[in-house]
Amino acid sequence: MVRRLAQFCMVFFSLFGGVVTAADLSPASVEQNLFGQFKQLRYLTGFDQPISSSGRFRVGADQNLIWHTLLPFENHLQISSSGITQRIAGEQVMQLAASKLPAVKLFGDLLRISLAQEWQQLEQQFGIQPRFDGQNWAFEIDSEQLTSRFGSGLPLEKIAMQGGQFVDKLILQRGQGDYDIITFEYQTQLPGLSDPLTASPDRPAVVDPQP
Amino acid sequence: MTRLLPLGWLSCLLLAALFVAVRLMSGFALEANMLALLPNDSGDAWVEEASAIVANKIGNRVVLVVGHTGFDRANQALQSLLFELERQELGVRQSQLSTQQIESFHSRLLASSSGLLSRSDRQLMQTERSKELVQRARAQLFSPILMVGGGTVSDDPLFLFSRFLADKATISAQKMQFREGLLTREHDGKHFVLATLLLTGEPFDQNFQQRFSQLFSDTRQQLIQADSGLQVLATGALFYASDAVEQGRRDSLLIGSVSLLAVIGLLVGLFGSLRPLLLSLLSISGGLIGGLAVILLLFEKIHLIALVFGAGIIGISVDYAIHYFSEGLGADPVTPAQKLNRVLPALTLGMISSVIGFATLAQAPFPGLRQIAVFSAVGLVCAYMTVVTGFTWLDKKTAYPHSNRLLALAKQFDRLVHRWVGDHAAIVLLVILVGGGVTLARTLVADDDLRQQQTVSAELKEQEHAIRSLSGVDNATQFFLVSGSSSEAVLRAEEQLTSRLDQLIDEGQITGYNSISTLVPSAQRQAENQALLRRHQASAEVGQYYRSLGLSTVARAGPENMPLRLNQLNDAGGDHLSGLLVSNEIGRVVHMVTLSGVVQLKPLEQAAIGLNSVQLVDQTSRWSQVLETYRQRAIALLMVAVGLIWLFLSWRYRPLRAAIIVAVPTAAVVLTPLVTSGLLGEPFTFFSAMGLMLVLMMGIDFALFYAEAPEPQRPVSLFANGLSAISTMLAFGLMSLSATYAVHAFGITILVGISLALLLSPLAARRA
Repeated sequence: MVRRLAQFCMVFFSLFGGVVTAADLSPASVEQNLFGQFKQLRYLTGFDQPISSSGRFRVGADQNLIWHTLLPFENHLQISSSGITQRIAGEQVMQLAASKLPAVKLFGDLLRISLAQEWQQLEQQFGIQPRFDGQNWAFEIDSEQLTSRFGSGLPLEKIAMQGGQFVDKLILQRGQGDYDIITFEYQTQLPGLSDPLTASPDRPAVVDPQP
Repeated sequence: MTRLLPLGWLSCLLLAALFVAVRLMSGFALEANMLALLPNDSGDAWVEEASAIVANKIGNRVVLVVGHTGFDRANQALQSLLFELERQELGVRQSQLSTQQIESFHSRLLASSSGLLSRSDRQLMQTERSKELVQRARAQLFSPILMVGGGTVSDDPLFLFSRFLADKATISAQKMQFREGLLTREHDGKHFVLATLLLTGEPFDQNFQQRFSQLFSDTRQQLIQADSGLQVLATGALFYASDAVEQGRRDSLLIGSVSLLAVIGLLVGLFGSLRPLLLSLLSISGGLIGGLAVILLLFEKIHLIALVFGAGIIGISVDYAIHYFSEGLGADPVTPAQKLNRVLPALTLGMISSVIGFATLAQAPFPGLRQIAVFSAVGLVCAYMTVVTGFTWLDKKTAYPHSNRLLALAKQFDRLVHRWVGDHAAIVLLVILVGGGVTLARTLVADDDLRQQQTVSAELKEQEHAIRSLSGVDNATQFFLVSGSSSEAVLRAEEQLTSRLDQLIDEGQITGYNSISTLVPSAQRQAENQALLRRHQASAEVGQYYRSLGLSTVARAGPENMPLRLNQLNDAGGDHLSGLLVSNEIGRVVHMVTLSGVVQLKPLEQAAIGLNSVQLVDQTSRWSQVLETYRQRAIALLMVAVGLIWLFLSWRYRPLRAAIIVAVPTAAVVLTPLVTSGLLGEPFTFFSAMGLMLVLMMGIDFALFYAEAPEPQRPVSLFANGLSAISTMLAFGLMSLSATYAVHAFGITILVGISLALLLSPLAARRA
């Protein structure tokens, strides 16, 4: 029930978002950017099957995260340090300040921390260190750590991440039996902004979602 | 018998002094609210009443914000501050939402969610765009972070309820988020925590202000000393009122002290004796005690402006003593009775003329101005009585030979004026000055903007601005009042208004608004929403979407939900809505719609056109309009006073002679704004008009003393007038340095006006 309330708080109060301007979403700088594909399985109470989606993503050196869902339909999401913008079929359907969406900001931050393997920052923010197994690493952030950092407003109960050179898997648990599993594939680090996957003939443009 | 009258009068003054002392010791209420100067008689009664309730609600609130790099530290510091203020019973924190309240509030909303639609979802449904509705739901469903908690998607797969809540949040333009029962914001690497304190006392009560400000300031200092990383911000009417009282007190002390010292220096220096000084002080004290006693007797609160004016009255009531003692200047001995007899006619005529003027002023329906008028009139009568009854008894000296040089100077000036300005020339000159002055004065542009007339501390303004900028919500003085016979009628009217306000948001005229109907739509709107939802749930697109998710039925979003009622939400912890509920009486319900980021007033005025139960309230421009009206009325009263004084003086003089006497101060009155506004660039305001009233009173005195004086005594009158003018200008000239704009405007007007009245006073002399 507490999580349910937290969800309500999150939506009702945390979304008191100021609208960001287009200027806040400035173009990315041309340093190291990470490109890759994702596959997301969303398990929801009351649903017989997980909700599956897949697409491409980019984590930019400019702190911007682009989450481009391609299947089962196209949905373009850009998360910057200041705002979140969503476009469907090229049309902008949402624009909100990221500081008012701590869960979204956290998502982007965790991806960046994990990809850069800045474990000191992870310890500073959540007081945890990853477990290492050779080149692989893994960590979990539990409810208590999330609450101490973000209060009770997040719609999340637990976060688990694992990877090696890059991030391999992310599990987001929301309580009441709801959770997401996101797996990352075909990750490449490049200085430019062009997504190599769109131009590469030997790799699939998108990963087929699980039926 | 000769002793009976002065003793009787002194006894009266002693009694009055005793009364004043008792009242001051028991603590009298000082009114710092400038708006209390003004009447409450404009507009519809319900708007006045509702505006007063709103002003009271806003006035009784203090907003506190504490910032720190760590949320816990900021929160702890805020809690300590609130604890101290609550412990001293100075305020009660506005209830934070407990878990149970949130639960109850949320459950109540969710139970009626089928009637609650965001603006955009409603629009999509109204225009039969089910496909887009589904598209939006999918976008949310497939976003990397699902913004709803566990177990709720199957209840609302179209995400209508979460979008309704998000829409409400967007409309309000609130930038803060909810964390641990408090509104918080992370900004520039700091966590800011906000709390609202409801005051337990009157924000304009001086004692309460002092207690609150002292404790707040001490606690803040302690907190910052313990942790220099803390930032403590506060805003509220109490801080502004407290600052205004402090400012007024400083002004009053400075003006009063310097005025007194200047008068002492003048009298001792010019008369070479302490006696004129002591007796002048007696007449001043008589005026002050009498005036103060009467206003304390008649009024519950003394307005700050009246108190500051009280400091200035020293400069006026000393005139009578100056004229009395000036009659004794020179080597020839003059008995106290002779001195009194020489000045008595002019003294009496001047006093009566002033009382007529102040009585005219008292007709203006301004509570504060009535105080000023009563204070001044009674003060002058008491000073007059002290001079008339006490001086001949207490003054034993027959000659004050020390000012011969100045007297000789006055003689030369008098001779010069009369050589160059004959009787006819004086009339022609006065006609030109008054006529030309009136013609030119009509071209002056007045400035009645209240914002220009209130001096606000830069520090307080900065803190208020910082809080507004952090919270995203303006504490705007502009808002809408929506009235109706029932809650449903008001909600429907609000919906009509808010649909226009949505357009204004799109046009960038406002950044947001807060209204009850955005959270609790009218029953009619909820029924419409339910019908729309029912129709769309039956559409092929939504059906296909549900099937793709493997859902056959949707529980929560079904149209069988119960409609939401405002009282249900209030009972369920909708405390923050109570701020928008102005009145909820049977037959008269009034809601407020607050606005954020107002750019221009005109579009807001237009938004209310055609909506009979909607009234735009703009406190600032409303009072500015009142100031404008009463500035005009004050000028009219000034003209009436000139007419009445002329009628009174026509009883003693021939009408033409009376007209000349009255024309002298009238010329000073019409020329003053030309100098202050035309040359010095000072805006002409209501307070300038009030200053002109005093210029008229003193100018009449100058003219009368000159007119009453036989030719050999004219230099004495001129000398006394000069002395009076200098003492008055010292007192009021200092007022022009006051940080309180109203006092400053008053001071500068008198500084210029009295100078002109003195220069023109020889024109009132009786000529051969």
